Amino acid sequence: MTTLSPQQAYQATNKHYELPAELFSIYLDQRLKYSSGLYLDEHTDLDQAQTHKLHFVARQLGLTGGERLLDIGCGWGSLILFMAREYGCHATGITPSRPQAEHIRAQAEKSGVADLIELELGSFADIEVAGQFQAVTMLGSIVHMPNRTAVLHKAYGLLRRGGSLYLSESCFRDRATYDEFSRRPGTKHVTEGIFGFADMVPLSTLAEAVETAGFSLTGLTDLTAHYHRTIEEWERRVEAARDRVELVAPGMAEPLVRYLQTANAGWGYTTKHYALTALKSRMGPTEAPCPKA
Amino acid sequence: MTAETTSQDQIAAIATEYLATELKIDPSEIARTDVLKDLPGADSIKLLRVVSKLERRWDVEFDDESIFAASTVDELTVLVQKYVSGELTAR
Repeated sequence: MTTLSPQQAYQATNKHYELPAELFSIYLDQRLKYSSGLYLDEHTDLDQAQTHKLHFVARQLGLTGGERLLDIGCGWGSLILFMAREYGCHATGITPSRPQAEHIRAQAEKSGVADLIELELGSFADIEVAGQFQAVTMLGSIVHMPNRTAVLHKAYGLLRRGGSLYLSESCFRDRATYDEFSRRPGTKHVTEGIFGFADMVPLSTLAEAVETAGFSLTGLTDLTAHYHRTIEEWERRVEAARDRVELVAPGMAEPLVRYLQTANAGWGYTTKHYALTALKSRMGPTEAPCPKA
Repeated sequence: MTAETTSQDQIAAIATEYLATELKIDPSEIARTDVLKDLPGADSIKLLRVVSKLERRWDVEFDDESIFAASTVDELTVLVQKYVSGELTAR
């Protein structure tokens, strides 16, 4: 699976994300955030869960307002637009997908944050990004990049001292499960059929890449249950609007449902969804982990 | 339904119902001695969804090894009953 070059992986992956935004608006939340939400209780709906999640990411990064932030693999811009609007961040997004970039530009204008948003069109590995950033985010994007250590090394170089990284990813739950399941038809439908290229390495491999790039690892959150609930909602929405899906992207309803069902069958059994935080700092955080109980 | 009152037949009926729903077949097509992966339309993802529903139904978590060791409807039923009755308590 890792025999693809970064360039080939980027071309293969981009196909899914170049499908019209209208398709994703059928099953995602209003912001088109294509990653796990965060559910506070049983009444939380998908839009609220994605809002909670974005605030959670801001907290994990220690944002207080006005920071320069880089989102690698920014999708339809939910995170950069949110951080610009809610935290006054100067946010740069990187996406290889032109439809995504156009969608973000329009949204930025509409919500009056166009002057806070910058976009780079292309693959992160090939792009010259002008540093320095106080925060870097990668939500479900490193799975599409075979050269994960080089990518993290580059991100490290773009952060200023004390800057923080938030990285979330879907992983096979351990090395043995990865070895057994990553080549199975169900997995390949998702990783190659839907996404072109995705390599769901175990957390240990991601952690190794983060430390090899020079970061201090500062935190780990298990978001598996939250992604399960998020995808349950996506699946419900696709099922309820199959006809519209077929209208916007002919032939897509069946593979899309199969992808969502496969993903949700695996959580906890074969796969996990984790969020990692890390700092560009030798000593790590100076404050105590549990301030005054 | 408490653990004490859940008989093997009741568990088998629920497991069969979940299997029939997931595989989109009639419950009458499923015999208790049938091999799970040989049921019409069965694949590992659908069977995992059934296991997951059974776990949620009784709020238990089976050990991985015992899930993959259960090859027939009866064996799956016995597995569930062991956890439900508290004989195995990996809750």
